[in-house]
Amino acid sequence: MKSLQGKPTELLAILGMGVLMLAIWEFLPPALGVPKYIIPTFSDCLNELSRMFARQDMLGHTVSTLISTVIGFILGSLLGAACGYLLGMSPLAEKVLSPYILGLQIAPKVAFAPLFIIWFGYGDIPKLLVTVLIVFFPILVNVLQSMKTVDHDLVNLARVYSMNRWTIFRKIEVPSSLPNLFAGLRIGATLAVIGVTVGEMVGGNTGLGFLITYGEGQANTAMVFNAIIFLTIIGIALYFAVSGVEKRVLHYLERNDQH
Amino acid sequence: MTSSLDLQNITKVFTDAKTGSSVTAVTDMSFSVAPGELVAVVGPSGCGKSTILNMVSGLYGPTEGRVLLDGKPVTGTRPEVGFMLQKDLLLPWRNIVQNVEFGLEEKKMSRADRRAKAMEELTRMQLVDFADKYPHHLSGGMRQRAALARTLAIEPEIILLDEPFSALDAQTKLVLQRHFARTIAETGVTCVLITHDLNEAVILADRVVVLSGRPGRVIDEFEIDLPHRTDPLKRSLEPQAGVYVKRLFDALHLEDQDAA
Ligand SMILES: Nc1ncnc2c1ncn2[C@@H]1O[C@H](COP(=O)(O)OP(=O)(O)OP(=O)(O)O)[C@@H](O)[C@H]1O
Ligand SMILES: [Mg+2]
Repeated sequence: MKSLQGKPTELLAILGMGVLMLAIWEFLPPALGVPKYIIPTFSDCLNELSRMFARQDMLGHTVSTLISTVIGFILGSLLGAACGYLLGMSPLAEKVLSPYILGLQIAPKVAFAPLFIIWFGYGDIPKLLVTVLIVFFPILVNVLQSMKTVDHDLVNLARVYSMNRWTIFRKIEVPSSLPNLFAGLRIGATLAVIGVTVGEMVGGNTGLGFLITYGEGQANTAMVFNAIIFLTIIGIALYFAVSGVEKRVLHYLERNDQH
Repeated sequence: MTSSLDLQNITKVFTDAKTGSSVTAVTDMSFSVAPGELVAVVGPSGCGKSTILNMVSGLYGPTEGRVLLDGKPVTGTRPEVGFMLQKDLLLPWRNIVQNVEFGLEEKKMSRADRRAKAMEELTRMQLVDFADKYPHHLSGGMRQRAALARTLAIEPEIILLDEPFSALDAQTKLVLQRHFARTIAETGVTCVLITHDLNEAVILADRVVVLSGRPGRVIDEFEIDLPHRTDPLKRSLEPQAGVYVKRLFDALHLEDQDAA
């Protein structure tokens, strides 16, 4: 991430690379005779994008996907963290549940999307559920891991100071777990977009995921490209929002990314 | 107020929950520490020194025997006990003054009093300028001084120290030992100091307890009759100091281990 504040030459190189790739995208496919409906050029996509904003309510779809992503991410994170801390506090429950958690963690969560549509119909609930489910596990696992690796001597120190279980949780375990929690949140932020996209592709008539299936039906490749690009932007924005919060909260950690 | 400590015929057996095998860490161990006294405990690695401190601090009880603080059996952790390890155990998410306040947060005192008390201890440890720095900004010696400030802030009646200086370089160690010797002389607090450093035991302690290899038992115990209790550096230059170190050396049979 340091490259963004890096030396001006580095920045120039990065920008130059971007321009180069756009140029290749613009000129190479036509030069090779690849038709538009296979790979639309950069300018084709831009034209289609302005059409989509004017006629297809691109703004509405983008905002809808953004809101679903953020809500799904927040709900999934809260649930994942809460379960992680609860299981971390009770080793017995953790032992009993861990094989099931492992099983669910491996199960491809997006495959649940059709099931949720059968159960809850076409609406916002299925895509939110997929997102919550997909965000839930990495955060649960990270928090649980951190609870198991809390420095035992710190806990003993707190006990010698006669702190009770709840105080130890608040003053030692939660702060110790924050780096892990944020690692989970960063993974969750990227996964949330996948959850929403799949939910929108499988059912419903709003959002960028819907535009992908709609564009596919119309053989409108540029529309599909644009939807993918906007989904990526949403993912990047969420990721940077999370890591921005992380930098502020974990300001006390030694940073190694300066060299 | 300072406390007396009495260990009576302590045996501690650890049983592994998974394999069912058990380890006897210490066996039939007895020694006592008078109020205001500093007793050093030395012994080979794994002989149960840390185990003793954990039992005195009330983290767990002995399998057999009794631990008495001021004549009363220890049944759990108590607010009058201070605790210091080789690791400074500073909380990285708190700045130095907040770290010193940590132990005070369980006491009924106002936020302002807590801050005042913490700053007082930091002044004594010459760390006032670092009050709002985070632990990773400090050197190892400063961090251990901050840990000492935190330990003293709660005005303990007994301080348990588990190799508190062993991770420091030689110079920092000397400075900190002197700091420590002066401070505990001022407060008159009772101390149990576990150490691997025989020289440290002689220059800091009023009395030394020597333990055997596992399972630990007391194999020797003697007073250190040297001047300069508040100045370990001066004390180490006393001719008699070397004699005490030699006695510890012999008691631990370190010579026999040469070949190994
Ligand atoms: N919680 C525990 N569970 C099982 N065994 C333990 C436990 N704590 C200590 N032991 C065992 O008891 C013995 C004594 O341990 P202890 O840590 O007290 O030794 P020590 O004298 O402090 O050693 P060192 O000088 O290396 O610090 C060791 O064999 C150790 O493996
Ligand atoms: Mg030890």
